[in-house]
Amino acid sequence: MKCKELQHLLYSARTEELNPAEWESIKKHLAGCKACSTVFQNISNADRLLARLKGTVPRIRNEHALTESIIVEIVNARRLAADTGTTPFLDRLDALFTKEIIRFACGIIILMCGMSYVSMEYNDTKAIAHLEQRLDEKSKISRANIFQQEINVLNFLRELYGLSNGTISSVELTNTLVLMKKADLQTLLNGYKTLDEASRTRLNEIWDKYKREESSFIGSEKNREEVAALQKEIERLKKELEQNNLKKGRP
Amino acid sequence: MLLKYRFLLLIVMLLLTASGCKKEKKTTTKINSDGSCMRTVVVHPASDTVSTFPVPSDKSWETRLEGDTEKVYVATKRFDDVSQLNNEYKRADKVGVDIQFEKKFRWFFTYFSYQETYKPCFLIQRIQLRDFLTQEEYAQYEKGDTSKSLKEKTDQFVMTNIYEEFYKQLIDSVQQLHDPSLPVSVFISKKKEIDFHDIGDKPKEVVEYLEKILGLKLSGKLGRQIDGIMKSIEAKVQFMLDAGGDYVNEVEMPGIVLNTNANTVEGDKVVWHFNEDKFALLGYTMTVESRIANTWATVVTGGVLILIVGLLLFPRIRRK
Repeated sequence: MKCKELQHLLYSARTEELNPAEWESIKKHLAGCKACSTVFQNISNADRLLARLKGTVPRIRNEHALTESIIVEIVNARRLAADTGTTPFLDRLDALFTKEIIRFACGIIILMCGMSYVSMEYNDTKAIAHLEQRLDEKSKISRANIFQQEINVLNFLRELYGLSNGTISSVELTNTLVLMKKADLQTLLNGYKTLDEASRTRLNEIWDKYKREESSFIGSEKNREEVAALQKEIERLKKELEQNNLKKGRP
Repeated sequence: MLLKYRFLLLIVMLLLTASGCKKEKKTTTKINSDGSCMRTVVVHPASDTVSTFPVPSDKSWETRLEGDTEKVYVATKRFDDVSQLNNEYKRADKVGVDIQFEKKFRWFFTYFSYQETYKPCFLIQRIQLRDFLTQEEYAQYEKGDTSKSLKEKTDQFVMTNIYEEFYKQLIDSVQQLHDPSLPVSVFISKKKEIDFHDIGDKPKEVVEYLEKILGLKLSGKLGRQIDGIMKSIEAKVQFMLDAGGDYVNEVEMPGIVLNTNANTVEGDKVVWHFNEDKFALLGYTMTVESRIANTWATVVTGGVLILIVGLLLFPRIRRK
């Protein structure tokens, strides 16, 4: 057995029991090794001393010197911490943010911030969508009104045109109306100059009917202007027609 | 339709003719995020500045005439806050205009709400429109229904109100006279027998008609009073007629528009197009709400959140 192994066994013997064979080999080694005998003696003395001190209160001989040495140790520890990059502030932060309650509070703050932003954004997006929908519905109604107005004018023109030659198709008439080109309208309206008396009476009837319906037009400002221009043009042609008829001696 | 009422025919005729004149008042208000605003009023034609609708004309406004043939009156003024603008419109002899503005700070966003109300220009309120129309009709009218049937009903309301005002003032005059030959009880009890459609439009005709129905001698005693009553009613109706025309109200809000009852929305600008019918009887309130994002608040919040997350991770990083 080597000295190192023996000393290891001796220390183990203080906490756990050794078997008789182990004790036998220790005894043999101690008899022949002075160094190990000294170590064995020291361990035995220390064990005896500890047994005697058991149950007594330790007394500090020099309290002042002990306090001073503790302070020196703390200062040295701080210096060492500063040298290695760690500070007591960070230690405190570390301690603070390790606390469960602080971590929970931080979580709540993050959650509340996020929820508040999301809820505001959600409500506002909803409001904008609602507004867009309302405006879209309004525009649909407005478009429907314009469409109704166009139909009224279309019917009027169709009836009116039917009196002159009736050769224009609905598609052509619609295109003319949709494009609202002045020249097209002019061509269309020029055809009425050669109307006979019966047609003129019919024209007046249609015109009166058209005038009555006109009050219900609610189209856009642009359309209103176009219709007004159309009305003016028809009025002008009507007057022209009457003057021509007067010149020709018609009643 | 209105022509069937003979009573105050002159006024009715005025009502009909007034609608033919083309008058327009365009108001543009630019609201800034700090609550200050810039108001521009354009009156077409320029001569219409004397109408019952309040048109700014004092020296604090920058005024000018524009246009070559047909002049347009333009007035502009900057206000530090909307309450100052509201004070500009506090004139008893004009149509009431009430402007309210609210700014709400909500950290990430700031919300703005603007409200402009044109008060009724029909000043005779003997009966209420709510009582005159059915619940459905009233709801339709509030929504802005312009159907012919409803228009006829509201015209009828105007005429009935005028008549009620006339009769109330007539009874007040009779009470003030303390004439035993003109007992108030007769005026009250025979009110139902009077068909106001048949009353003439001239004071003399009114007196003759009332004498016939009430069986009392009124001429010489009440003639002057009736003349005065009719003039006061005419003045009130004239007030409404003067406010007639087209109105365009344009408001430019800071940020994104969230809600409005305007006809059109173009970016941060909302526009209302209407005529006097819209506010004549009930008044008309135009509202718009908008918001701006507070970038600095978002940056601060983001910074704080990053710091908090960093601190939460700090003990773990340190141990590693």
